Amino acid sequence: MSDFLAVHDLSFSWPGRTVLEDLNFDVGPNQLVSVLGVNGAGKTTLLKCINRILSPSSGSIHLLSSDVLGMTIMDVARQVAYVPQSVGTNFPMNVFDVVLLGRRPHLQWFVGDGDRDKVSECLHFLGIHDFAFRRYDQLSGGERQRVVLAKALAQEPKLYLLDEPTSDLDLKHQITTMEKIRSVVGDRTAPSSAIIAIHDIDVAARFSDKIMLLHDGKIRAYGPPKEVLTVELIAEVFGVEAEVREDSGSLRITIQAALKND
Amino acid sequence: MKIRLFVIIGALSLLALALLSDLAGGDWGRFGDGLSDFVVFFTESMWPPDWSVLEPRTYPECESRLEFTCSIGYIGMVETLKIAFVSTILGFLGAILLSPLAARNLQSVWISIPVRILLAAVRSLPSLIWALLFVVVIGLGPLSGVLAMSFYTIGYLGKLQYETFEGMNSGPIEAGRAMGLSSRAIATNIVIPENSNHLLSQLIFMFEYNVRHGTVIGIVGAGGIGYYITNYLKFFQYEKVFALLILIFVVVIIIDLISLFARSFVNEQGDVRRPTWMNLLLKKTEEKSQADSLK
Repeated sequence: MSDFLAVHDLSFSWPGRTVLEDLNFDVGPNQLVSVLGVNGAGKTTLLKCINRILSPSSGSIHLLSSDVLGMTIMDVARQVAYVPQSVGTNFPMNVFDVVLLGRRPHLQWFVGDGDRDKVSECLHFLGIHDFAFRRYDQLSGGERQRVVLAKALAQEPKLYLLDEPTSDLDLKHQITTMEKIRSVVGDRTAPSSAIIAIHDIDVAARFSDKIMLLHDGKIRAYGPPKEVLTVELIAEVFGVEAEVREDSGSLRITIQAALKND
Repeated sequence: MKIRLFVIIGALSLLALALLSDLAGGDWGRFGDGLSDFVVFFTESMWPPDWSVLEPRTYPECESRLEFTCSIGYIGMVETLKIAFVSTILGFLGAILLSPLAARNLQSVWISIPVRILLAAVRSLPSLIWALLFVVVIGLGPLSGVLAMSFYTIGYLGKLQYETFEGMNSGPIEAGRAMGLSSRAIATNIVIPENSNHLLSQLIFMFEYNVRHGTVIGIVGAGGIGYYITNYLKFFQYEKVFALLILIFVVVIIIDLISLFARSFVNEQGDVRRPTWMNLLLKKTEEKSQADSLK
């Protein structure tokens, strides 16, 4: 098991319904892991459990050998950034201030120049500095998604938990955003890793080091994309017929048709 | 679907009619007699309204140049408005402290349930009963009215507020937890600002409500225009009572119009240009330093 992130026997239940059951997996440094599964498979719940937004029923989570479930909320925030599916707000903050919120776990008393510089760096990195002073509640869904991602980058965590970070983005920004996440995670000078809940199998295959297939709250398969994303497993988990091929070293997946129910 | 709806409404109407008959003891003639009595009472005792209630009192002598301000109607109405205003503000402050503790999405059940029980207990007594209790404890006068309506406002507004908090989107709260914020910081920095429109709207509604109720609590001696209404009722001066009732009606209508205007500032549908919190709270230097760091 890796000593970067190690999850043992993680389970979570709502009253009368088990969502996650005995999950065991590890994530190494500088790795991007995509969690795939149908709606309700437990992808978001898994991310929320790792981030302590939800309390697991049982199991343990260790990040850099520290017990996440035993940390204070502030310590978790210093090490783990969570980007939810969508964050709406009625509060008229500008984009700069929203991203500045990401510095909250590192602030002492006041916002310093270093914090502002970090925010500026993240805005430039994601190419959203042009609307830094526009109101967040007046942005489109895709623009908001990039702002919330910038907030996570400003948090400078060890672990990124991203819940469908590209669901509202146009085709170009889906690719550029994933490339940027990939480059952040791949930075060897500041080791970090990312777990991404995502629906687009092709994007996941292209950018991930590992794929986790969640099925009915259990890990059906976990490993490198070539081992996990097979025609048989895709059919079993998603109920679709897919074509899997290698194209200049990377895996390309095309969904052909939905399989008929037996 | 429509037929089922009509059947349900019809059944409920019949049930209400049966209960009314039970309450009236089967004597339906009382309704007809009551109506004719009311017409006689209104035309002979209440009509025309006696507008002397808007003339200055003979004692103490009026020292104001505007004589109207020395009238029973003006003094009573202003006292009612003062009671309503003070109790709404005090009640709001009490409610805003308690309601984040009662919201289940912000606190554990060990905290939220006892606070909910406390709010329900405060709310279960109408402001009239609170006024009776405070009149006994601290005596007649507007202070009893203020305390009575403050307590009721805490219970009533507290419930509206925690239900608003519980109904909000969980995204901002989860984002706050992911930032490492404590429950207190989430309540003060996210939940209350996020729901500020609703809170302001509820506050204005509560003021209207307290103005209307401020007229009632005077009946038990807790100050306001109700106190004068009770006195006139005791001496069968129904024309003056009617004049004061018209005055209350006019004031309530005016407050309604003002609150409609005030609420347009916090209403999403309003086309009034709203100032941003950022403009109100942050110094310009903060935005300048943000802009500088972007260069």
